[in-house]
Amino acid sequence: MPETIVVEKTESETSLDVPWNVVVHNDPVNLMSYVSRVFIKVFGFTKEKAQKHMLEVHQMGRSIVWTGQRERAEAYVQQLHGYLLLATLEKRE
Amino acid sequence: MKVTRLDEQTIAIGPLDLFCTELLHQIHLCVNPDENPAVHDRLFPKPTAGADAELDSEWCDYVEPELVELFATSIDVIQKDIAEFPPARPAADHHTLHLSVRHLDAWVHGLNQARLAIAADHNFTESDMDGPIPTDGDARALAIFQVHFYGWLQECFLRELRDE
Repeated sequence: MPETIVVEKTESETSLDVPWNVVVHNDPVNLMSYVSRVFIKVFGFTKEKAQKHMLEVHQMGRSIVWTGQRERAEAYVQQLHGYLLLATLEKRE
Repeated sequence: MKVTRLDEQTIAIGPLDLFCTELLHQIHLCVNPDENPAVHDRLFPKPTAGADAELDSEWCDYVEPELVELFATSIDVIQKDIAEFPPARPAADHHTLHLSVRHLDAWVHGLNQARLAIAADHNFTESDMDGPIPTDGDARALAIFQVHFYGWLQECFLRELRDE
């Protein structure tokens, strides 16, 4: 009879499982064409998808550009900061 | 003044008068974030905007130094491209700057650093950016002109990169 292993799910594991959003915020200086180009380079978006998110940032003040594991979300935010976009990560509600 | 593609590898910006040439030489001066905390905060934003103090703090320790290095790389390219511009001879009021297309990404990035830093330094708002360029002749008016001049160059370079 196989031995039963009980794995307790810890709080930290649970928090790691929560999806994280990568959010880009509007700023009055970054050019719209530049923001679209960054989305294409970082996320591999099509031109149309990049423009959709860029316009969302411009008109709504923010756009969720990616959702997933925290580690990758942090890496994306770092890349976006490298391109000088105002980006944050937040837990998906 | 216009940006022209000369061949596959080269673009030309000109004619540049002495004032615009001086603005190019000021790009690296604009991005020193130690002068004004607002400039530093804009160039190095916190990843959770204060929601997670621990992550924001770790970001300062581990990510910010990498970004500092990355940003300096772009500025170095620009500095080298204009180190001997304008040439001493022939003496003239206007000159044309030639750039390698391979450097355009660095220029776009460096110009962006400068624009964001100037805007943070002067606390520019959306209406400052969208309004007419003031002709007051004071430091703020010059700064807005500078941001728009760099923005125009950025747009021209982005257009060239799109056509690649």
